Amino acid sequence: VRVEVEDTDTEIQACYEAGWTDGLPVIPPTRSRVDAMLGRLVSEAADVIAVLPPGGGEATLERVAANAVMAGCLPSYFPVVVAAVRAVADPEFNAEGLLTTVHSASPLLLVNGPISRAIGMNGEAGALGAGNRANATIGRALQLCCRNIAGARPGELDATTLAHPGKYSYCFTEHPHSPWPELAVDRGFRPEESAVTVYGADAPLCIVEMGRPDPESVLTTIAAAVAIPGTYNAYFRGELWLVLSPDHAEIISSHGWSKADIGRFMFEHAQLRAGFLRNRGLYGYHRNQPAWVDEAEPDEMIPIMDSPERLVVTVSGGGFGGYTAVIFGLGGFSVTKRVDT
Amino acid sequence: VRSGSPTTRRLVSPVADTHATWRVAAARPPALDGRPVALVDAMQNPRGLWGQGILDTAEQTLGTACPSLKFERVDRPVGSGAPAEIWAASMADRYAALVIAAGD
Repeated sequence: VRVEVEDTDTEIQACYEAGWTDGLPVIPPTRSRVDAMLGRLVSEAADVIAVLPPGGGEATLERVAANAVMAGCLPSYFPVVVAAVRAVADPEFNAEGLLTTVHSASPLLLVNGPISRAIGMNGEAGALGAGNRANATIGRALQLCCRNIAGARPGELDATTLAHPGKYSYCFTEHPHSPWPELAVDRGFRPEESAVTVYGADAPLCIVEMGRPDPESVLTTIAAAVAIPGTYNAYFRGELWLVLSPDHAEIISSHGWSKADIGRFMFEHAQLRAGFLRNRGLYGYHRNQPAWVDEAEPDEMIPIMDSPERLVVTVSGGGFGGYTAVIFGLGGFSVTKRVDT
Repeated sequence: VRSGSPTTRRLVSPVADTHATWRVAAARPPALDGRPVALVDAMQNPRGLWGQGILDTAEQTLGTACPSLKFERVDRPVGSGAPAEIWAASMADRYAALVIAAGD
């Protein structure tokens, strides 16, 4: 046993020295571990499932499996990691922009459908944090693929100035008793299908509202919290994600509100004065900035989304607490892909 | 990335080869031969249209210096498709020069 431990220590150190890790120790991707991760796909190990920008690295099943092993995934998680890699490679996701930007954003992964329950993912207490193997290692596997296959290493192709802790792992699932359908169902998948959604996301900003239990009060506080300059949303007006706690979701849904109702309310209330946006944030970064910044009257209120549909509503978290996590984005679009099991 | 140590050779590499970050510039032609100049928006986030603004400036500046020049706006390759060297070679057949707006 002692010899095996020493070998493992050597292998872990070798992974560090090879530049394969995210700074945390990894499980060494030995042949036997990688083959176990591939399972019935072992004969297809060389198949290229995607080409990942910005480096154009070929994501073979074997390389994805090696990264999943290093992250600590169980083989039952592997279909989710494969689907996530495919989602990141979709041109609509703009991985080339996300993985090279000076901004902090990082891929956020949401897993929906039966597989999230089958592998024991956490959509309840602490869903966006530490403590659950599936959440932690699936998210980490995707980040390692971005590093090792896409070539997005900080200081090299990844030009991020600060980054955020989600670059270690950023993955969650929705609460099993959400009052609304999961996001994947909103996007056309059947409830019995599993799917992943990737979103170019900033770190979550947690908003508390426990004063008045009605939808307008809860959402007014959230709208005020997101209507701030200095976010990419304020200028690009792209997707904005909310992760409602079950308490907030219950308050809002019990009054008959749908996700679309939340989107309309936020579109109408999460707004900034045009004059306030000028000479702040991304204003003047390039002369070809969005025309509306200059064309609007100074007191005109500008929604931070270009339509109510830009708001993505999810439900996750523990059973008590009036909190909502606001997750700003890079300005692009999230992409949803089926998980083939 | 160093993957050649005796220990890592026993492991399955998680790393893919990626395109070189720096490339040697192509040889400059002695003169533009009448073919158009391609203006390529390769900004990482094309939705911001910042690349088009850079190309506006390039077209104006070059057009002032050489009024006979003709310009064409060219879409950048979608996704990661063909390696950059192959794409550049195909462009060289059609255009006298490329002006590429690149950045974030």
